Amino acid sequence: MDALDRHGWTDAAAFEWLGVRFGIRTDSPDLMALAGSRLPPASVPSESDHVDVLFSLTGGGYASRGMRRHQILYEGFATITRTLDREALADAFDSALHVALAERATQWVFVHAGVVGWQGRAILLPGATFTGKTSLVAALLRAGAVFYSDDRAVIDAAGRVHPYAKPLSIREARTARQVPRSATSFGADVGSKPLPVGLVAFTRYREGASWSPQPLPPGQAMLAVLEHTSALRTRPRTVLATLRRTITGAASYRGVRGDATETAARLLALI
Amino acid sequence: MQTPLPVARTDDLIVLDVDDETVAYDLIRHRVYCLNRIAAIVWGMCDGKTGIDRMTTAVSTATGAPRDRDMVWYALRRLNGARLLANPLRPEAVERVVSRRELLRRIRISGLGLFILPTVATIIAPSTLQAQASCLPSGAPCSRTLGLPCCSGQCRGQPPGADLGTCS
Repeated sequence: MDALDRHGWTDAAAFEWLGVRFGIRTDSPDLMALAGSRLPPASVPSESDHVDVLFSLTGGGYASRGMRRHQILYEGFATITRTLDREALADAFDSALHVALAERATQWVFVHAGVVGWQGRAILLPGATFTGKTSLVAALLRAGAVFYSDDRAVIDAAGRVHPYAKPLSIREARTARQVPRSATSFGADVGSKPLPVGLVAFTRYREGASWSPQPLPPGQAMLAVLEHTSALRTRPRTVLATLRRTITGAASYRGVRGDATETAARLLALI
Repeated sequence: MQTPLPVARTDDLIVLDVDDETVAYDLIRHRVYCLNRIAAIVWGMCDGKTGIDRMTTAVSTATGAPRDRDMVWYALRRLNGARLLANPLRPEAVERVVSRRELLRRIRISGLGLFILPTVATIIAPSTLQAQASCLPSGAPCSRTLGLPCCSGQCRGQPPGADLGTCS
């Protein structure tokens, strides 16, 4: 038995999402609560004795001589991060968990994208951090769109997008941490059914810019989506086949945008 | 010495038609290519038997543009650069290919759209962490100009002001 298994674990739980079972064990209830705050919204407790991947979170508090103890995250027996910062530990767990899920949920494809529903079709907003995805999602919700996801598009084998309705992570200022805010606080409904994608928009915020969207042919749109797609290296056949279904039938545009409210109105008119 | 007729590479590639474009995934180099319609037509005719003249006719028929062998050679150079040919072009053949600027000039004069210019767009397939991570946690190595930003928004250079540093 590994030394890690002999540690004094006090809390343990197992969950399942998209056919992947994952376990979490901690040596304090507050670390379990921290991990619990980062679970996928539709994950459910699992009664199985076996998990596909196990995360262990330990540490925090003070050692006997008054020194702060590092908090450590393990995936299996591998150390993922060692930090004194609780939020950094949560971020690392969130990242490691979703990488593990994306690699193991073999019938699903994850794209780093905001998603809203509009008139029975999804608007996909792929993009990296700091490109203004969340602001645009929030503006679309204020304009009456249905919330699907702030930054993760979960796509099934038929190419349809499923809800991943965690609270939006609003960045109050460029250097501030993200603050969670529910979709309902924007007056929006939360999606419950999978939707085909009707529109893919690659936008990046630039102050004072006016959105002049350039149409993208489907192949180039697919290439641009792939830049934000998980498990491409490990499951390229599945990912490519799925995204082809997603992109086929959707209009795609690219362009720098300015004000989110104005862009949101124009996006809704395009679909 | 005569240049051998080009042959499309098929090994270690996943190829999909997406509308009239072609997307190819290189399983060895983990790169993804998107060939536009013209590049896809030329690549599809690279069977080691079809000559440049027949390819030129096919491209002209597909686009309505005048026959232009240079357009086909330009497509072959792009395919060669993306390592999508099983028998790479000879360097002297590559050197003879007209420039993109010259082709754009001809397209402008002909009054046809840019769609007739063969293109092969490329990306490096991201790892799952690269693709889905929103930001880097505190303590992670970071760059001010490349890759993911820090969750805190602050990449402290080492020494101060350097591009590479650590997320605060």
